[in-house]
Amino acid sequence: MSLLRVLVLDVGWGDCIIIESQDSNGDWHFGLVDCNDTSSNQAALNFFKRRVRTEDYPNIHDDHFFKFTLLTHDHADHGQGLKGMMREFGTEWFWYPKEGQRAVQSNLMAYARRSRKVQKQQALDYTRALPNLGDVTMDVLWPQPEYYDPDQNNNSVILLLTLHEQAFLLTGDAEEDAWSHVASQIPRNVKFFKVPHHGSRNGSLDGNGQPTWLGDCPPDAMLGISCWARFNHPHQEVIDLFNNAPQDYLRTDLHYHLIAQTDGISPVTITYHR
Amino acid sequence: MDSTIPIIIDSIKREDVFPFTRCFYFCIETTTPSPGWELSAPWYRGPMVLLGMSAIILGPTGGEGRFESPDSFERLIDIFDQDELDFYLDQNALWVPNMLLKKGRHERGSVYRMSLEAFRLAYAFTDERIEQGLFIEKAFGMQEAVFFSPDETEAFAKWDKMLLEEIRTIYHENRSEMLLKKDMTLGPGFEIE
Repeated sequence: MSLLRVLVLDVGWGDCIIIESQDSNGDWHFGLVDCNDTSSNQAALNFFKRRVRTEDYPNIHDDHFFKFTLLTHDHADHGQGLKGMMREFGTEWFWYPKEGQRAVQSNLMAYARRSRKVQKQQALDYTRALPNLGDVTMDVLWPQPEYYDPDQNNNSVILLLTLHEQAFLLTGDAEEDAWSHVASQIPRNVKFFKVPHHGSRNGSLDGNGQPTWLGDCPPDAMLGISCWARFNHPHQEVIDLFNNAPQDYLRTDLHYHLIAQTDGISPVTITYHR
Repeated sequence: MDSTIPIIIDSIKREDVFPFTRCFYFCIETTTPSPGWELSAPWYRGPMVLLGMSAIILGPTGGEGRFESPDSFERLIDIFDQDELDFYLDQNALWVPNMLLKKGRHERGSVYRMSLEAFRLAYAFTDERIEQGLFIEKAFGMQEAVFFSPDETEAFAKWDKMLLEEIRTIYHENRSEMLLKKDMTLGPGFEIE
């Protein structure tokens, strides 16, 4: 039986998401999306080092433990911990958005260029065909080729993970402009939806206060918010919106690590580690 | 030796409730016991093994005061980002009030320098040890403690451009190993770009 598990880690501000996939042969495959670890807080690194031991994943000695590492967009709260993770675990691919004026991303690209811990690096847009992660298919819904917004959030890679009949959607910090292109493409089988930009107003509402993606998100999808109250995340208007929507939601500041799991057919299980 | 700390702008928040700019700085991280270092400080001088230490970069290697060429950034990578070493070049975020960055080019990718005193305050705020109101209040007296560094801004941009060219070259030399492109017009199927 195949399995897809997405772990949205409570890392304070920023994002760190780990994808675990077991294929029908029982082999495990892993992906990493963003990491906000800092010198003084290596929450994700420490969590995952413990997890691979306790779960006894056989791949732990692989030189490239992660099939891929994705920087959704070039902001420090999504990328500053990636080098530590890649250095510790190794990755076959390092992916990032295609265009833009780089900042944190430069150092990561420079590292990936030389290190044996990273096999290959490549920029993504939705024209690229991604490899499977075990039995899970992966599709980039955004950005489109040649797109660049000075607001890096809109350049976020939006990644769709599908196992058999069910899908999970990871959205980076995508805002109004990205959603104006992508919202209508949200598949009806999405069962877990990572709320963009930590539940901020501009991640879920347009300039007129209207929802940008919620109406296109399946009503039975669970919403996961990676957030930290210090930056007014999630915004009260967004919480009010969610409270009146059919979807349920969980937030890392209240529920800590969120774990969504599916075999692609049975009802999705959502747990949290408080 | 320039004792100010270089910071690079990552993201600017312009909300009234949070008028801050997220910058980042370079530092060396040690994760396993790392020999061959010597510490020179007012309270100690001598050899030591580093472990779990974070050393913030003030300038390029070789004694130059500032990062005034793309190569000065490249040398940092050369020296500190080798797989076999016990340390690596990391980067950490730092929140700085917008009002301290107004003089100069307040935009993503710009390099500023800040005094140790201002850095300590910003670090304490970023590390959630002081409140926003107190930080803003103290920052009013630090207008001269943060300043734009145009030459380092240009050097960083040139280094990034050089880097991108090199990665593009690697991509084209290894195209057969890279991700295929979906054929967006003919339905299922792939083609090499």
